[in-house]
Amino acid sequence: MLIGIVIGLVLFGFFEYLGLDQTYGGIIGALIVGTLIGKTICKGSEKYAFFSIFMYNLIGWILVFLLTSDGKIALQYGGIVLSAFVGVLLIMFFFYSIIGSFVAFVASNLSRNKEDEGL
Amino acid sequence: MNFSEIQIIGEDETFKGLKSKYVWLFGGIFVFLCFLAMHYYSTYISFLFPISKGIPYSLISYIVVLSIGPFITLITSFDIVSSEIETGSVRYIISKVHRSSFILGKFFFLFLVFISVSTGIALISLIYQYSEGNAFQLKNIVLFWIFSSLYLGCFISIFLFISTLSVNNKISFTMSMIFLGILVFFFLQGQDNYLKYLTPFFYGVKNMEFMKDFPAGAGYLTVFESLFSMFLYMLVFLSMSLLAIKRRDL
Amino acid sequence: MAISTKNLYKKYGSRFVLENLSLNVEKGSIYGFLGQNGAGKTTTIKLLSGLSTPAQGQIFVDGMDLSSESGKIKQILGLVPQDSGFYDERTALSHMVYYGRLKGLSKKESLEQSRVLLDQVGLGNEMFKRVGYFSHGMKTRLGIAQALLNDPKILILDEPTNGLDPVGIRQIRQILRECNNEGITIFLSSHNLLEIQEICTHVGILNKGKLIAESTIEKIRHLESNGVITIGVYNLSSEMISLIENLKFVVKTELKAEHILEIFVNSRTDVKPEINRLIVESGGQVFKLIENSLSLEDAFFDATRIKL
Repeated sequence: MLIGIVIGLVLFGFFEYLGLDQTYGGIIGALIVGTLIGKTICKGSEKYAFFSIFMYNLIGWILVFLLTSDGKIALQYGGIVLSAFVGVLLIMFFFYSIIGSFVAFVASNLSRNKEDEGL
Repeated sequence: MNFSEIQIIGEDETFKGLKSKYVWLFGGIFVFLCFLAMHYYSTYISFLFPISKGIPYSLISYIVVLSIGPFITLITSFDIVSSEIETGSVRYIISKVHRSSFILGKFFFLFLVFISVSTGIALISLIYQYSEGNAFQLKNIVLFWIFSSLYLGCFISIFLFISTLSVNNKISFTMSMIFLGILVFFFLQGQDNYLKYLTPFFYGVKNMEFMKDFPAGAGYLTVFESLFSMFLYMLVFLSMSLLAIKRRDL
Repeated sequence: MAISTKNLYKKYGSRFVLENLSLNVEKGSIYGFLGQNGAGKTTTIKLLSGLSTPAQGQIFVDGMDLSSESGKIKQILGLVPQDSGFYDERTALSHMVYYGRLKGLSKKESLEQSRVLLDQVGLGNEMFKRVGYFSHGMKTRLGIAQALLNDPKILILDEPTNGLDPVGIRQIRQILRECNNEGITIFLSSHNLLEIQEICTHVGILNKGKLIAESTIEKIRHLESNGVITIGVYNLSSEMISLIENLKFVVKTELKAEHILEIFVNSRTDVKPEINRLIVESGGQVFKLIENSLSLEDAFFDATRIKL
């Protein structure tokens, strides 16, 4: 999970640097991290993918708010505007985590040599 | 791939399986819902379609297919393979036939059911058109039949793929709901977003334009383009199901 | 050979569950596949029947490579998996007809063969009954019946007598003997050593994913030793035990009680006089000297070195 978070943060930073659209960046990051986690962990990969993706998005955006000039401007707004923005972000993180979780499910079940469960 | 194996599995699923009874039942419910929409159009929902050329029965039923179709296919398809894996009955089949025949047989059973559903809805639209004294819009009915069959076929192939990956029905249902949510999320991302091309909803909604106003001349190309896209979408997920079953230990 | 595997490996994740498995099943034999829980017996059966793919290695069934001719192999193979996965709401006959058609029979042929096979396994009167109402033994017999559709050359069974009562076990054994008499090669895995001893002509012993022994039943019994001599000596000492262990035909000794020693021997001749003379010359007083031949159970525990 930790490796997933680290890789996710690296991707997050890379997409931020490239100026890629937030939605595409979030989804592509979720796809990559989900695939990696799905291929390496066979059992319970969906849970790990979900938490990793949520965490790296959360950490990434906290860093954006604290370290970038745009983030600091956004923080200055405060109040309802900031709450709404954070709310929207959390919903987006949730969706990215769901996407990554699903990708992890597909990746882990498509890999060979997966031990039968319940058969 | 062996066509006789596919035919035997499809035939058995269609007529003998316990599942076939409730798949046909949900198909019937679907037809009934479309019938209700068409029947109560003038009373309750005519404000949605203020068209002067007569009541667009095929369009109404197409909208019902677009909105409810994914859920009906989810309920009928999510456990088509996962139930066999969960109970172990898949072993008796895979030890006798090719794995690809198993998946294709299941797919054709579901596709056949929903083609029949589309046919039923199309016939009801035809009857309503005739009874209202409207001109026969045979082109629209045929388009409705093809578009709705392919649209539902896309969802069948998606849920078949998820069912093939899952070890039990609970996981299959959960993942199918999740994936449906993901598709809705992608579709709602807005006009300028490329993600909508990854959803059958986009192609389904695009086809509505052809049903309102069939394009003339070179416009036929756009219709075929749309049909081809949906067919390709179905083929991609079906191929992924075949890949998944080949890699699985059973 | 009916079945042969060459350097078969299977892994789940990074863990090898089968390592370098090379077994050979002669045509017309009844091959018993023995092993503890988790040894890899079911995994082996899944590989042989095409339900699983190996990480490495080759599998040949009736001379055909499973990786390239699985379709043809499936036609000559009958599989009885461990847990029955029948459809509860369908009748036995309905199952059989469906499976018969999957095996390439026409509907009419499938119906005819199904009736005959269901009679053969003792389910003739239950063929129109829903499988959900079947007992465990009846489901096992149905499993065997469906495996016999379209006259297979090879029958693979995964612990067919698991959970059956003695009557059920005897019935299954009888059915398998009849099948073997008709020329069908049988490969079955089991925990039941007595059953393997009763019915099988050949045995393979699997331990932690490795085939540690494979031979005929008789030779397996003589794997390490071919007899056990139980000796009772009033003044048995450790020096006497050392002297006995140094004899060339002695495989090992086990002290069962203060005065009772079990001596595992490997010899074609009668060695009791030599042991008796050795003990007497050492000053021992022998009050008991009995020879027993090894059972398959002893050989199995010996081979797998399981300490109880």
